[in-house]
Amino acid sequence: MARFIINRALQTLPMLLLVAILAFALSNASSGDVAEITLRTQGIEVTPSILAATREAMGLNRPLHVQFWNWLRKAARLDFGISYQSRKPVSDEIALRFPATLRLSLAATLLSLIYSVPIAVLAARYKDSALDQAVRVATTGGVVIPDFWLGLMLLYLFGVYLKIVPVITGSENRYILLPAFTLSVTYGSTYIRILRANLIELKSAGFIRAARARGLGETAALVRHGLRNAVLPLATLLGINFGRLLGGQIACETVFSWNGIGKFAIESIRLKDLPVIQAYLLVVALTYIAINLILDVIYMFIDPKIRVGRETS
Amino acid sequence: MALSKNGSAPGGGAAPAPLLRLGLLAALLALLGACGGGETSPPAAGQAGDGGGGGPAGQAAAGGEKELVVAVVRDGALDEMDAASYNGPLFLFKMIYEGLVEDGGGGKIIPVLAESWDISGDGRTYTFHLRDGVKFSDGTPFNAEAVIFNLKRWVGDEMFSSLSSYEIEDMQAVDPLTVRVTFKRGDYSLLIEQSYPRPVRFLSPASVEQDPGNPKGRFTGPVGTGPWMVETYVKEEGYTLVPNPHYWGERPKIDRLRFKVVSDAQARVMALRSGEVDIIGGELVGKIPIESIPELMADPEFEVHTKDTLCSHLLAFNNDAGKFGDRRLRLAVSLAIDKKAITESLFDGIGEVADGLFQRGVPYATPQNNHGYPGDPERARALLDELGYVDADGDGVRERGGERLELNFTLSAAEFPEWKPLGEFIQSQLSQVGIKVNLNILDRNGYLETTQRSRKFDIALIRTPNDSWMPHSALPELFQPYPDPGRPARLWTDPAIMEMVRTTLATIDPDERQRNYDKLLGFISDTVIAVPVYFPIASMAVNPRRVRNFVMGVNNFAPVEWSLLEVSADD
Repeated sequence: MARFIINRALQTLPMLLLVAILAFALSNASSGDVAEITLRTQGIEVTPSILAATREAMGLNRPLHVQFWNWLRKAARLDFGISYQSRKPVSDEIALRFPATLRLSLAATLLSLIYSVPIAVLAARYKDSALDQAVRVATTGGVVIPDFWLGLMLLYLFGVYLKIVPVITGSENRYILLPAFTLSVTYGSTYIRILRANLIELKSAGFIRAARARGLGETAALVRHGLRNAVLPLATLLGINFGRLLGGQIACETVFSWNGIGKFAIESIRLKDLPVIQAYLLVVALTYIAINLILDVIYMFIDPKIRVGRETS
Repeated sequence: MALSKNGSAPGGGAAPAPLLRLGLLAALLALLGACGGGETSPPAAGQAGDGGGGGPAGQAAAGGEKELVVAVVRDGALDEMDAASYNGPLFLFKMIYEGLVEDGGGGKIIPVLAESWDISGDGRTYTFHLRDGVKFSDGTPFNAEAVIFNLKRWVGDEMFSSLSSYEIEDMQAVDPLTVRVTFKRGDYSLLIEQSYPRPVRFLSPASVEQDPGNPKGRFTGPVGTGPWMVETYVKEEGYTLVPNPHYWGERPKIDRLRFKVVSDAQARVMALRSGEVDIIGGELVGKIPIESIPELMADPEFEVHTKDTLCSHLLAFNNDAGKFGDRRLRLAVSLAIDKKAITESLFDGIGEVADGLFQRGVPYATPQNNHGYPGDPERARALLDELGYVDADGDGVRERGGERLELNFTLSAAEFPEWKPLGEFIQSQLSQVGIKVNLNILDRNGYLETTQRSRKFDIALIRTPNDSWMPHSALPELFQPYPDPGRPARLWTDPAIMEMVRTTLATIDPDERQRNYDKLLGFISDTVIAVPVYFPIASMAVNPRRVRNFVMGVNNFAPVEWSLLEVSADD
């Protein structure tokens, strides 16, 4: 078990290096002169001498591989340097915003589960009924709806029209419901569709029929015996989506004034704040890798087949 | 309606029974949740002292204090807002710090910390007579010594080398209330530069880490002589300003101004509508989307205030390869575009019609030297015919010598979202006279790269500077090689224009200076160096049930007469 985890963790090292190289290369390759953009953003009228001095001060005159090596050495110690824009340590900037994104991601994930499970069960139980049809239409809409639009509409309805929540959430937990719901809609709709399809497939499975034969009602049979099996294929998707959410959600964060990592990352990309972009990409990649690892471990716990398969091969 | 309940999802452990079966998910979430545990609450409202964090609908400040709330687009970086730096929003500089002089509007310079000044004949030596009895908001006296201390913090710093006052030959505290400064260059803009939001503003010497004899010590906090001082600052959330108890002039009428960060432009409008903020808008505070302005104007619940700016949006020609060398082609492009329709139809009357290179309020620009060309597609067609551009194959696009009259039109919607519809409008107008336009809409960096470095465009939308920088700072910016000598200028490369710009800026005598400007601006207008397409205006909206005596300020970095603001009595 421990060996498995250590092995898996070691396997991720080359992956991380690759991500580091890509993060560094891509952020450097994007259009625009870093020194010039940094100066301009601060409102400095750029002259050739300022530009030269700034390049020197930022270490941009050194060969790219030297810059990369210097950066990597520091990054390995979680020192991502100083943000060009805010002139504060990048790790502080990320630490300031990541908790808000984490809270929002957790809330959105939980919320999507809270409504998608019962809705999927009902839709599967009453397949082809009016309810099922309505769910199908709603989930199709839910998948394609742009979250900034939905967010603005909800904000208008609950913030301006009904005045029951503030328009400016200030990243506060008590106002997390609207942004979390906005974020959850796309994911929740997918979960409902997958769960519903899985449950319908299971309806004819032997153990469900057996449960029914033991006198369980249709719904009870589905919930008590079907759900566990139907939900397993969802776990991977859930993990990946959670990772995606942790990368930040620019539209939702902007609309709801939620001070998360997404807004910060996009702004940094816009302003070519290389230390921030590189750190952000690394952190996102790390999160994905960690989630995958955790998922693998959890699978091993709950599914002996995987454990045995891994250990013998 | 379940949504109306304020439940905190991650904390709410009471999961429905079926969920317990999802051990997998619960484990996953719990594990990840643990990583973030303990640091979930941001340093939010708690620090604000009076807890005026969230509640909807114009929560009155505690204890009957008169407070107004303003939506601002981004963080203020107040912990780094050194008077001699580029950190922090421009509009705050003027509220917290003061200069020797200020922009009085209409090209007038008015006394502030200097009550009067004498200028030597060669325009290089300025003797400032300081106002007596002025104190910084921390009680430190303001005097000649403090002026010199502040000047030493930035003079000679490369970052300010675009200013004429960057190079100082000599500065002296003649007596406690007299400062004499001799600049190296005697440009007429020296006094205007003293009114810029930065760097010629004054920070309390006590606000710099004590290191005797070293004015360049570490900055510890924004303390100035201005009417306002910082009360609280929460990074990325907002900040509050309160009146400076030591202020020498008329004190603000309210007890607190609360600035809340709302990055989304639509959300700012909604926050005004919901009553959470009282004031929105301002180019540098947090713009109102252009499409929301008519909507707010029509709403009796709100008051919209507008003011002309000094900024022009121009269509620039890339003449690096001599493509636009013929004035008639440039004139045809200009005549093809109906500037009146842009302001009146496309933008619902929000803005001014671009009837010259510069807006009316720009110093030295007169109706004679600064004229434009109203839309006249018939004449545009005739000019193109005259130039030999004809549509022989009947595809709607003119050609000459087998080459189609097709232009790459580069722009970015990053700074002005309205440039996208503006670009499309210009595209359609040019197509009506037989010029095919291919729109190339880029992000901010790609746009700067294309228009200033690679220069792979035929025509591009650009804007001039604004406010106190017009026109003396705009002209070098538009016509001097960029970024190095030998490179094309940003707008148009012509040694004759460059020479005229240099001469004009160095002219001390006001009448002669006006004559030089007449020559320069007249030449630019006559030769159709660029096509002015739109003159933006500044706009702000307020909730009149809360805000009284709202007066817009002289420029974008002084967008509101903050000190005059009052809270409505019926609130």
